[in-house]
Amino acid sequence: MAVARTLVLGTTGIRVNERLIGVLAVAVGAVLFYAVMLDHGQLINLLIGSGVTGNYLHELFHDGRHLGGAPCH
Amino acid sequence: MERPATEQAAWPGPGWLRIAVLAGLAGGLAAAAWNSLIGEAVLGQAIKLEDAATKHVHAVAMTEPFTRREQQGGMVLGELLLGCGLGLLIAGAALLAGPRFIGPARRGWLALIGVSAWSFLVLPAIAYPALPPGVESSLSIDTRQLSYVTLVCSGVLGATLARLAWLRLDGRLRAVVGAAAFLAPALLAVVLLPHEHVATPIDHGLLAHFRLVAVGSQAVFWGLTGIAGLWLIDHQVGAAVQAARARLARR
Repeated sequence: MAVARTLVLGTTGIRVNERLIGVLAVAVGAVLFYAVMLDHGQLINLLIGSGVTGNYLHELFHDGRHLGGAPCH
Repeated sequence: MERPATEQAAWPGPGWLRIAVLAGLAGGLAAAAWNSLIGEAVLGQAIKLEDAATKHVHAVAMTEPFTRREQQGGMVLGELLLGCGLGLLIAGAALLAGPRFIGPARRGWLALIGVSAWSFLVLPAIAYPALPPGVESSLSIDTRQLSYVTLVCSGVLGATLARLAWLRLDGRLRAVVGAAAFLAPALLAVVLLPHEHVATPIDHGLLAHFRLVAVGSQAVFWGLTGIAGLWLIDHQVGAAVQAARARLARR
């Protein structure tokens, strides 16, 4: 028998598809992974504007990137 | 009628988010502890060599936005955010694939962790082993990052194809086709992606030590994430299954 793939949130009766939650989770997870392991200033430019040139996320997560095996420089 | 009710209870559903994110945070915390106790010492040696080699450049203009102490704090924050992010990716994959594809929660979790460790740890360690600060690669950073992401995707693609083959084929064929499907994308990626060489003179002992510590950090991360997830599944799903059985027994 197929397992129910929707859930009802509280008393509001809003039905949320598991696949939609899955898509959102993958999207947020990918952004976090990108920010910590791959970003070279693009995220801050995107959020704050092109006036900011600092490579802050890269520098802040520098040690973790090297020890996590991600290409850093 | 016990089976469908307990089967439904055994599928965590959106509870995968809680399980995978908490497990990822536990893995991130363990990796941060490993890095603080072991990794930072090796990284510090490499940074000293880098600073000695680029002393004149630093003397001219360069100012770092963070001190070494702040970067060490950033490492802890980064590992926690990474654990959260990878947990969300795993939970999202489980929710998108569904219970028929993933299988029972415990076995499915172990498969997801295995595929993640293969894709994020083993394949990059083979094709693009970690480089310490100050050690230049023969490839540009853009090429290395694109190759790294392609390699990770090839691992995930192979596992997906292997699972599909396993579900749709029978007998010996599914084992053979499944194994081939698992390995083919990764092998193609390793062979076809640009090869990397170390372009900076470095003490090979230090390089080997750094790479060992980096693999250790990732192994600690995936190991602890796997164990924490199993514990959470046993508590969360086990309780739901027991409750479903109790409801059936009362009828």
